[in-house]
Amino acid sequence: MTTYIVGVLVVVVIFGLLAVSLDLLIGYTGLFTIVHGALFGMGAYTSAILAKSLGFGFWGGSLAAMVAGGLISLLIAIPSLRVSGHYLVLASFGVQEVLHALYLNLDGITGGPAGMRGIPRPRLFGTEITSNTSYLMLYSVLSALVILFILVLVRSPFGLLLKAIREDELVPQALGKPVVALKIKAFMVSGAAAGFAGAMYAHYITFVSPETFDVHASILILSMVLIGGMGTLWGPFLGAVVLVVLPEALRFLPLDSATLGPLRQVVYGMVLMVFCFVRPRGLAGGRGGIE
Amino acid sequence: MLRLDHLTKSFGGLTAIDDVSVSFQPGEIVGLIGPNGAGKTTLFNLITGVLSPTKGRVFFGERDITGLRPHRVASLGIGRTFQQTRIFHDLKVVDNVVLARPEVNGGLTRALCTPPSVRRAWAEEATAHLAFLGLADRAQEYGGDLSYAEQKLVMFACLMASGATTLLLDEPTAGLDPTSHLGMIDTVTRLRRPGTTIVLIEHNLDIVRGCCDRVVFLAEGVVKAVGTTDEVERSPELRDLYFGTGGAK
Repeated sequence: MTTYIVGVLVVVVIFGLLAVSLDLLIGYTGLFTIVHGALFGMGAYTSAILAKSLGFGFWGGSLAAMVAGGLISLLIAIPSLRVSGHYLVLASFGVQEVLHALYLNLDGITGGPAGMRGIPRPRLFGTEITSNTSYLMLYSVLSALVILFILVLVRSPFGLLLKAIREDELVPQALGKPVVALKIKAFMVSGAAAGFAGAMYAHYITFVSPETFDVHASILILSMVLIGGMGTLWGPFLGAVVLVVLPEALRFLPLDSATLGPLRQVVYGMVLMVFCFVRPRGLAGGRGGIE
Repeated sequence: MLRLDHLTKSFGGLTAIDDVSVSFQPGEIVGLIGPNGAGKTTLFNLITGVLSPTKGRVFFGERDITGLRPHRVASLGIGRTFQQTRIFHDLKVVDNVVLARPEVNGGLTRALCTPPSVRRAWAEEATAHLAFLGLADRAQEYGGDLSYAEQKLVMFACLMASGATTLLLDEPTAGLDPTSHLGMIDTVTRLRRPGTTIVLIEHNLDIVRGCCDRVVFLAEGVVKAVGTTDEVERSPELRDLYFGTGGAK
């Protein structure tokens, strides 16, 4: 039972990082995108493929996953930042679908629908991490470091500019700020963090498959940000706690699995609706985000 | 020196700016006047790179800045304010001013390596600019909580922090009550520095008279008259447009 709870917490830590990294884009920069699930997958597949084909371990794989997440974000950002608002949502959604299709169909590289098994567990000081408790400790530290980096970033003058862009793009331009370059940087940092989360996930579950990284994953991460409160960082982390723990908690209801599946969806929908009406700015409130 | 050389801008069949050649010297305050739709704001947009001219060039000093992107133009030292107040409502007033500094340029390493002492110094300088404009006690409030007139002043504080040497002010009195107008004359005059050029779009001739050395009178995209306020006020076309007395026609 403890192992199970700790296991859930490991997933909380991974999704917490994902939600925080998306908050950098949505909450701080005002760039609403639906592609984080695919970026998460990019990191997971990158480290999985490198581990299986080139014998990379967790650390090398994570580094590569961050680079891959950042670069794919750059590739997404350059064309999609020509559009904004609703069009950016659509463009990023398109990329989400394309990447998911690639994960699903590049059988030779990604293992196709069957996915990839046997991804090695992380090694720390020569010892393999196997227990959920060790995972929780290692991943908490790593996640905290990345979140701390994002926190320092948003509190720096760079973060000030991101918040300015969120409100009005013309004025920062008139003040000499390279708005497009700033957005691209935010995109890349966010993507690199999502890629890292992907690597952590792959080396924890030791198995990756396309359906983990489909549009539902993107929407789930987005919901964490919205429920938690955009532009606060800790809010989206809290959102991740709620949306990871709640479905797990429902398991303990005395219901058969045929009822439980749909019930989860109902609860999930209810939670989102209640938040829209009761706390539209999320658990953390906050001034940030887009209207 | 800012020099416009045969600048023309057409939107489809409409020529908004028609062969405008005019220059603005360091140290002077120039009023840009004309009726609605004369092309005053369009001229600012052409200078600042928001729009590209159909024909003609813009020179800043010796440099041809035609077609540069807006943030490049701004980083050369051409700052502007907007007709509507456009400050960041979700940022503190002091942060509004700090981010106007040229050092806050979006460089990641630079932003992360700026020591707190430097950031404190920036904030103090920003507060000094705000104090200069009479807003010292508002520095820690959020931009959106300030009155309309105060927000206009924050835009000026931003210009001061940006280090711009050419200030393009788009109708600073728009939307202000008449009692604030006198204060605006004072504010604009106080922004004058040796080497700083100020171009002021204004409808109110009292304000123009109060602070401008020279006036450029624009109508239908064409420069109708350039000269001192008195000279331009005597021009028959201006009288015709403003008072409908039809001086010359």
